[in-house]
Amino acid sequence: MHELSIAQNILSIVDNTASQNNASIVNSIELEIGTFSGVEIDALEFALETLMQNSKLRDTQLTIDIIQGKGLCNECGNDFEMASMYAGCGNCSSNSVSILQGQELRVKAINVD
Amino acid sequence: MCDTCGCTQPDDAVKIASPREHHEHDHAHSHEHHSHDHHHHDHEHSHSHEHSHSKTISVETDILQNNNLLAERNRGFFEAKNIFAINLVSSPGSGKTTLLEKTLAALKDEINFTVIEGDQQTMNDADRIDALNIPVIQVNTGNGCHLDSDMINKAVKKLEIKDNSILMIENVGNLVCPSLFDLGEAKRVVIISVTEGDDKPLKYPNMFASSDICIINKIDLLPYVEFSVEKVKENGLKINHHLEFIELSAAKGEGMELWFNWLKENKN
Repeated sequence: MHELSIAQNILSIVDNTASQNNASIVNSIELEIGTFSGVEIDALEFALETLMQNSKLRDTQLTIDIIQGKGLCNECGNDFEMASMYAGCGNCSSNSVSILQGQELRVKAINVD
Repeated sequence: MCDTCGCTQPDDAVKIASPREHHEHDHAHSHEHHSHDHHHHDHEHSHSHEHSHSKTISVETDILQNNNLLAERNRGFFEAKNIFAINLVSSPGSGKTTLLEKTLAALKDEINFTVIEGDQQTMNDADRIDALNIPVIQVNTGNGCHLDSDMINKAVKKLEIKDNSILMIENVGNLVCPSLFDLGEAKRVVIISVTEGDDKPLKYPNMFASSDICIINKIDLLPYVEFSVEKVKENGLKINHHLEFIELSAAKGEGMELWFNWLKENKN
């Protein structure tokens, strides 16, 4: 259920950015969420929609870019797409893998008037 | 309603209280309502600009930025006072509070401890720690499923933490949500008991990925359960190849020395 507090954080960042830029209308919000971020994307979407429904963001378009997990093998240097956080290296099957991407939890951009 | 003294406090508000002040019923506790959401929309737009030039603003901001910034402030405070802060995370029922009680009872004469207890409701855990005469604050998260750096920041202000001490933070029993929230700790300790499945690291990867050590608790029950210590280690290392393991039984005492040694070695 941390998706609700994540959603509140997102709207707070959007709100602050909009007011810093003297914008009155937020047309769209673009998020980047990694597959290993620990956030359930459906639950986050639901939380955001619920919070936005009764606010001045009710007509705002929401886009979530899902970032697929990628890892770098510390043994053989192979970089590869990771289906899960425990996926070993496909080349040498080592578990010593550094996660390169997939942990993102970011407000990328907003479009305003 | 407040579960201990019955004052009218909404169930979902965060409460930060020490057992002593709460039980004295002096109602001095201010019930600080956790103002997590500082985004009350009180803009008064003048709407004088007739326009239609929409623009895209590149925000590129980490969603957990506020939590992370405050966690770093907590961390700086702990470092300056040489306070070794530990974030204890696990499923409910894995034995966090028992481990904590036994640790405090064994080491309290050599090391100064302070404790922050996180639970959705009740003062029960804080009462158990308070019985050992250790300074403790209970954070009740209400409907919240994790502690965050703001709750720790507020709790720390209520505690007079001594220099060169250990701060034990017992997180809400939950292997999912607390993994995302840095509290400013020096080390994160995940506890798993042998009555759980040995595939837990694979099921809850974020928690094991973000922890420094994994305590395997209740090893006295190994003869009665289908749990492979080797398997849980193998699974844990698949997620986090830096993870260290300590096997112990907090209730029976076996292996506790290894944990005490780890605490003492890492403290300075």
